[in-house]
Amino acid sequence: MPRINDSITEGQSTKLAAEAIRELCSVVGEQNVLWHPSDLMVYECDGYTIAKHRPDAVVFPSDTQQVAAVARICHRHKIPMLPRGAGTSLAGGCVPLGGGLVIMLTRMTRILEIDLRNRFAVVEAGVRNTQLARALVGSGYHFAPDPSSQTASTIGGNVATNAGGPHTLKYGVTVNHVLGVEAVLADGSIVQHGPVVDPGMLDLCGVLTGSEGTLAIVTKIWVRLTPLPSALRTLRVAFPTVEDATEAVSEIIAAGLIPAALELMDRGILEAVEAAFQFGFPLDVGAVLVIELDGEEASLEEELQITRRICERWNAREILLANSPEERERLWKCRKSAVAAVGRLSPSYCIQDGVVPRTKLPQIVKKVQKISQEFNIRIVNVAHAGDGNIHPIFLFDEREPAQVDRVLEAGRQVLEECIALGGSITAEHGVGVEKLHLMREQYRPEDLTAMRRLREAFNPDGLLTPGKLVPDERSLEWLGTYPRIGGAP
Amino acid sequence: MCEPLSAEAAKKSEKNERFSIPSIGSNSRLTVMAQSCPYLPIDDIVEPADETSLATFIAESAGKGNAIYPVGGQTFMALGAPGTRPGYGVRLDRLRSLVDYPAEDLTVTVQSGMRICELDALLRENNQRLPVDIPQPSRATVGGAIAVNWPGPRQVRYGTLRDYVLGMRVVDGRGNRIFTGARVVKNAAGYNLHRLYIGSLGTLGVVTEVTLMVRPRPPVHELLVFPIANLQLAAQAVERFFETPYQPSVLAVLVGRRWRAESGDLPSLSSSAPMWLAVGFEGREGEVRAALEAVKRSFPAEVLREHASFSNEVADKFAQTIADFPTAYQARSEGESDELSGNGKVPILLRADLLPTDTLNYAERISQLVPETNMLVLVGSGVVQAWISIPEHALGDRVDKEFGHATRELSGSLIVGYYPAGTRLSRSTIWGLTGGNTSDVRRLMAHQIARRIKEQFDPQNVLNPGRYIFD
Repeated sequence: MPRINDSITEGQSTKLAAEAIRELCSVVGEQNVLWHPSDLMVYECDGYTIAKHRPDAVVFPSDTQQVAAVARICHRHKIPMLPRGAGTSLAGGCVPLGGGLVIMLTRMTRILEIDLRNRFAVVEAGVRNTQLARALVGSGYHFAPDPSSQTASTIGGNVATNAGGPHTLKYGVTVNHVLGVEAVLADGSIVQHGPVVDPGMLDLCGVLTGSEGTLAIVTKIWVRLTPLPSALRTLRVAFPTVEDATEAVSEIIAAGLIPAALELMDRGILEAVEAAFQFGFPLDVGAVLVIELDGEEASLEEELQITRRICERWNAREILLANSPEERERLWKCRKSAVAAVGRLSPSYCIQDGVVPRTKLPQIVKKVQKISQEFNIRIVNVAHAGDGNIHPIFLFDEREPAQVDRVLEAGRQVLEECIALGGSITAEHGVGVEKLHLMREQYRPEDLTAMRRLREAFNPDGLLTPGKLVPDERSLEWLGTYPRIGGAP
Repeated sequence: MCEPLSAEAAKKSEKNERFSIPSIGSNSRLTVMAQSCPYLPIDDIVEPADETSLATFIAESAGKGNAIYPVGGQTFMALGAPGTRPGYGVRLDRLRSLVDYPAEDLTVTVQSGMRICELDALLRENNQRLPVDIPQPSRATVGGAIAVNWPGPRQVRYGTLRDYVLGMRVVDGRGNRIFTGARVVKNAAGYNLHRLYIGSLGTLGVVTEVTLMVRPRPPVHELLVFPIANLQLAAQAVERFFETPYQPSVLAVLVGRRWRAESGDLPSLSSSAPMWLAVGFEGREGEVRAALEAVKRSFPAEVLREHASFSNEVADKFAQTIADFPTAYQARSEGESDELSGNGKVPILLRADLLPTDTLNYAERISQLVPETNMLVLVGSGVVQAWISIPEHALGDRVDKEFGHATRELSGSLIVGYYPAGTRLSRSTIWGLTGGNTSDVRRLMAHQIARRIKEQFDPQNVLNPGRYIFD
């Protein structure tokens, strides 16, 4: 293994000053700093593989004090930095535009406290979502946000993107479950807000959640624990068309029910899931809804009957009730693995994330079908139908540049339609690099200026996660190197 | 029921005229106040005709160094220190329309001058509601409720406005019009800027329009009120109930004689009890019945001996009475003396936020420090609100030291929610900025960030100067 001093002085490894690297090593230990180009490749992108940018170094701090010391070094040497969790972002949230240092929080994996009576847990940012779920088994409580990435994604990452999941209709998104945060600012100072409410303080937790690492590096989180419902009913309902399914969803809500989940899968995705899991999904239908009702046993039967009647009214061909916890588990596994199963249908795929007011779901689904035909790109659909959150999945072959271009343009048109219908370019995946240019379509210049002002208050030198979330001159310049994403005219 | 549009305006010898500054817009209105507002150095209240007029007015005021004091239904005027610079009040009485209500999307967008009762009436048409407690709904406005974000009895189950605001339009202290969030229930594009305006007392911007998530109105509401002898008994009942899987929609201890007066037109509470434990459930018939059975199984026999029960509309009304606790005193006795004032004593409202498990101990501590206190103890969500009466000369000292100390020991926060106009009480005492809340460096850092945010959005300190935590 080359010694740091040797290789740095030979100038063969990194753009960072040798002194900065030495200081980083002195804080976290030499074994916890990567700076050889070959070691850095893994960190040049995340789940969104179209955009890549290699960092100049990567560090693995093991606690908040180390993160603070690393930030101080970066601040002194004017090195850009970007915090990273498990790297499951599907939008390029972990791509370090402009290079600099990636600060890995995946070594900070301690669950520090679980207080069931006061209904919170304290976790370090690198604790995986399912790690906390496992620690809570048998307690009667859970951390409600359950993004499909949950087996890998960290709670710090969930906070950074304000992650959602299939249960947000009833339980809300991550921001509704964060009671407090400890975070390191770009100059290395440490700030804490919460967990007890302080009326004499601005809601810093609220703005830090969903800020994609552009305001501060969240190192510790007080998360709300929600009592598990005492009873569940999970249904699988097959409809002849997507429209029937979405109409049924609207009527369920209009009837005053708030199901825990209302998940839609179209015929295309069912084929992929069936090929992968042989679950027994019908393949001659237009769409399947997975409906989960939860609450008190005493009321669930009534809600189930209402739901059944509505589904039947909308031509449901088959209504199956999960008969055991195992069956429910398996149904959910299929839904959560649906995207991965798409790998069987196509050499490459790209999952999009957009949201419309729920009553506009039939319109956006039609538009997606139209775009699919126009661009000659196969698109299959999963959707958190109760939230109006669509996830069209584009199937293509990455080796054919013309196809990639068509996919990107088709994706852009889907999101523009989301904006036109009164929705948003992302419901839960975040902006990353993928949607940076679209921020200018969703918001007016004044709105983006206001966002920049907030960033200025937290991160005045702009060293922390530069160019991300709110587009600026630099990010547009960087994006110019990825003409397919948005830099090209 | 809503009070008539300009009930309070009609009472005063007001004079409505076209505003003399052309930039405010010809349809805007200037009300000269007959009675001065004791907490604000203003003579006039401007009612802009639209958002553009408001933005122009704020930008001009910033240029001239005038202050602007946004007011809503004026139900919480005594929250916050007195304003420090002369200027104008701004009221959004002319911005109170429904903008969009796609009921099946479970969202509603309204202008922020709309009163809470008006919003509630709209939602009722679709059997929906905003399940957040807002004191004095017949006077309070949507914008005012957002600025204050006061916790109520149903917080234990439904959270606060922070959980329901999806997006808003705001005019900041520069006169810039900002749109933040979206009209959908889930949005990850950009910062949650709107969170900053909830609970910051209008010091970062004047909210003009809000998109809220709404929920179906539950078919059944049952509320039980048990007279109890002491707080220990409440603690026992609450601890045992927490072992059951049921989620109460109200869980509160009502301490003190005042509660009998407050519940005046409702079936009366037992006259001999020093306090009551209120527990309520909402939902479908079956689950509410099951929860009530669980109460009977889990509460100690001493608690179960006697109770009053309220159903549906009456239960809603009682829950509202509990929510009105912080403002009822002001609404009733402004300018009059009663059992809380007199003998050189002044009444103040304390609000402590704590961990739920600390609330009853804390309430006990307050009763020891000030006997005969009237309190609302929100056991499930960790809030204690207490009306206390203290000689004015000792006020600041006792709040900072005695009560502040008791709160800091439990890592909680303490603010003053009401004090009579003219009382000498510093801003740092009112917002709990002395001692505990800012004692450690991490909290100091949070305050530094808050100040920087204020500088970004209101660099001339136009909005509500001196009222909130900022200088």
